[in-house]
Amino acid sequence: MIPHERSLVEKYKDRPFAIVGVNTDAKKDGYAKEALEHKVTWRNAWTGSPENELSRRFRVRGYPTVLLLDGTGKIREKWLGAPTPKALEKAIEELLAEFGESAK
Amino acid sequence: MLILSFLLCVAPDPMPRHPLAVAASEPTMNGPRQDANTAYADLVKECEAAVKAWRDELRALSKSDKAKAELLEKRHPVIAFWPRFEALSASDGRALLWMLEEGDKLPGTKSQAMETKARLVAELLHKHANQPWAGSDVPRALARQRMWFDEAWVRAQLEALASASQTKEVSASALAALAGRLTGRNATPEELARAKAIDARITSEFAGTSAAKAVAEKQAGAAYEKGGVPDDFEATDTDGVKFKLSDYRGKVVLLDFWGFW
Repeated sequence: MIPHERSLVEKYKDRPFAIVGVNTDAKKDGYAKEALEHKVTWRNAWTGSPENELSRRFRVRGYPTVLLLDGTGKIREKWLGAPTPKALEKAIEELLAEFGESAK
Repeated sequence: MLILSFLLCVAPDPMPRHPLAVAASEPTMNGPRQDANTAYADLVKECEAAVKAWRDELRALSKSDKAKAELLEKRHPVIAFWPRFEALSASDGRALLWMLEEGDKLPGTKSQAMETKARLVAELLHKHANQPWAGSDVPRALARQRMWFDEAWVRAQLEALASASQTKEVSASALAALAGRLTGRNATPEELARAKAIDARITSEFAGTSAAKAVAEKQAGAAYEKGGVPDDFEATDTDGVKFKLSDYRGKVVLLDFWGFW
């Protein structure tokens, strides 16, 4: 998931697109080391535990759980387990295209 | 214990309260009430044991003596237990639930069994719609009869139960069961719309019932599933900076719940 996310950040850097992670690691220094190593440059909410309020609220039943929200804040996709890069990119492209249409 | 009870019975009322007498008086006071509550469960248990023994015997006989096995097969324990459940149903309507479930094991044709079952459902609805167990147990019992009743009829019975009951909890549960049956895998748009209307009715007409709470929970959860709009949240990122989900309005957002672990 991470290498693909890194490429998505690069690929869509000039488009209305953002990755917001909700990280659920327990130790901050461990996370910082790994994030540096894996070049996690996008924003991540710090929760400190897989059993946190945000995960509960979003009915996360396992990790990773990946959601795709459109510009209005509506959940358009929800995957339990990482989607394939192809499926994810297709969904992003579709939402970006929709976005372009409504902006016209 | 028996002797103590006996002593208590014959003792004149203004008797000095002896600690032993207090201890002994409690079971004798609660005894009969507990019996009424457990009579149904006890009878069900007794019948289940009889059915199990009957099955074991049948299995053994089917290998050794086919003729005897055939005779035994016609003597399903339910037949002998039936009058006892029937008698119990006068004081505990749940006996009718058992009869509904087991009625097809009585000798007779399929249409007779069907008639019996339909009669039992009618009796449950007419006499027991206000019982606290009716809201959960009647819909569950009906659901188990899908071999016998068609879906439209079952739905009509649930609706009838909801209107027959003077108890909000029962009515709401019956309606919730109906809504559940309308939202199956192959539900039509009309059925889904009807289920939604029922949920709305449960919320407004039957506020405070457990069914209303379940509807509220379901609706709150839907905002966090595909097609829903989640409430905004504020979080602190890994650099200690606060942000909100709404900061990203106007953008396609990939929200990833993850960890290195």
